[in-house]
Amino acid sequence: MVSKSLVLVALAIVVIVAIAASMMVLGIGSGGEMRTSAAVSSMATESVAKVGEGRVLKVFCAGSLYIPLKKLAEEFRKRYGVDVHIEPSGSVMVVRKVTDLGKRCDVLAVADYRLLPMYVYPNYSDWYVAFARNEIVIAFTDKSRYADVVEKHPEKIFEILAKPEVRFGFSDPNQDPCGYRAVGVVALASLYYRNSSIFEKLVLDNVPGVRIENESGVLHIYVPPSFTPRGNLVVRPKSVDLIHLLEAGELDYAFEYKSVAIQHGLKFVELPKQINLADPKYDDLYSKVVVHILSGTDRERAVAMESIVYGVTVPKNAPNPDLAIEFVKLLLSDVGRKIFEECGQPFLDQVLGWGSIPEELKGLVKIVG
Amino acid sequence: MARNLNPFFVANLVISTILVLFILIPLVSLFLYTNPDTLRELFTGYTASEVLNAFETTFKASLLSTLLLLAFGLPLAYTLARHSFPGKKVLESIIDIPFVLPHTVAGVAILTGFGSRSIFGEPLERIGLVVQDSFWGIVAAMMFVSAPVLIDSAKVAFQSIDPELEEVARCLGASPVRVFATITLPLALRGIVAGTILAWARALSEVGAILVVAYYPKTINVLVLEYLNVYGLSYAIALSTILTLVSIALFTALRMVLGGGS
Repeated sequence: MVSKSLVLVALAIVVIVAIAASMMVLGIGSGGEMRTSAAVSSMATESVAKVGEGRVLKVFCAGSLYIPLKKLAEEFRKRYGVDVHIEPSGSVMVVRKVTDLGKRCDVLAVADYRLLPMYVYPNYSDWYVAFARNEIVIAFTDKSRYADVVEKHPEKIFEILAKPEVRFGFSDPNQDPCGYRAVGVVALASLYYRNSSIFEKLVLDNVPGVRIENESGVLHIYVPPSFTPRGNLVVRPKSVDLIHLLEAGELDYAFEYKSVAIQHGLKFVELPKQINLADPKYDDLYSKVVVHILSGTDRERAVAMESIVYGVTVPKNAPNPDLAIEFVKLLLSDVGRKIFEECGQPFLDQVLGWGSIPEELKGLVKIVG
Repeated sequence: MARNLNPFFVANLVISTILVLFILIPLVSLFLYTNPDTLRELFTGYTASEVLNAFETTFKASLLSTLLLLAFGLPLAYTLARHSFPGKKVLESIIDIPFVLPHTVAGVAILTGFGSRSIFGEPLERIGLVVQDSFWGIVAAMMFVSAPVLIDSAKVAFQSIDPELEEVARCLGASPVRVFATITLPLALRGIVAGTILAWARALSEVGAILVVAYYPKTINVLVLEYLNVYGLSYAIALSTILTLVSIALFTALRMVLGGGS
């Protein structure tokens, strides 16, 4: 019996090997792909438009970059005949996919360029650039409670968020930059309006375990690893997840990026420049608030508030490095600039770059480090 | 013995082996990737209470969702198996829809249908049934997505029983309830058990709809996604491994107890 079943297992293995071999011969799977890309880079002198035909460019990006990058991808496809696959997720997840899951992509774009030197550069890429900015707004719809009041008196927004019958949301600070930025913005509002009850009512009363300490004029906020809200605060992993709830009428207000609010056709309250993280000129002021995420764990990280600046890079193991750089080149050109402007993510006055910036991009980037 | 080696049997075995390997290889690599230190840390470090709570929530909610489905699904499945009425085909298609919907959409549908600011949600909230960020929301999401599995398999099980058996029993004077309990249910039991296990498994695995409806209290699958995001792959894998092992034990036990031996 044993020998019989051994024979059968052996037979099964033979069949599997045969299938695998035939797949390789037919060029299905990674083997074939790798050969093609090696062949392609050896022909690097040929025009990209020619070799681009039939290839697919893979982009991992922050959820908030999905729409402008999709528009850019359409431009790219028109010019180079290359399809672009865009995979959006939270910015930290974007990075994790490459560093932890070992997934390969051609272009990696995140909502906070500082994540790149923290996780990606220099181990997984040789350079990175910071290119566009954004700001935090408070999005709402016609169905939101007190929407009429907010439209007439946007300055009353923090008063309204504190009302017991109003439900508001932001994303998990431990998982999403938009989340820790929302916490930071509420703290900055407390400072700006000189009213500590704003932070108390919106954050401290709603989330057990959050602490705030004033150390020589800088507010340090400690966020516990398990961020569990109660009361009128609703939390989701990514800020974009809150939009379903907003549209379903289950949520009245959500802390969002301005771009996301514009792209989803939501109404929004713009906050004063001193608190909305829009303007690099106010970085000194923003840095008066430091949010410590995952506090009390060995992964605790102090994030000083800074203006919101997007970053992009091409990983070292990108399957199509030549196309990837062409894509970034188009992104940083006037074409990309215009698309991002329309999407509510205007470019920095000067695109900034770190590391060994590729030749093709040097004219578009001011190298600062 | 020679009978065992006929070509059909051999071909069957070879083909089956390929599929079993296809399922087994990713599972085994999941176990191989699991770091024992991470596993220990999950249950001893600051994540311990969160992980244990998530397991409790997940199993309680999926068990409750499955029991509720049995209570409401068996009568529905029996009705569909035994009676024809106008609109039956449409009804059957509607029941299958939760299976087709993208999970996020299923979540949004539950929120707009039962959320505390919807027409049905307001009276439900008055009796304490809130779906958003609550245990009941998880149960609702799980029930919604696994309902077609249970209803369809129970329906097929009931359909496979010859109605004459029931009629004979009724002619002999048994009440409809007694006929259902002593004839129909025992004969359909294996199909129902298989459907129940599948529905439970489906409920356990749900995450997309739960993320929309009730991110809190966190279930294991929500935690797996969160840990992947916050702590990296090794934590997510360690959690998934535990869930896999518990599920294998649970479903094997269920099959042994209810599946009628073989």
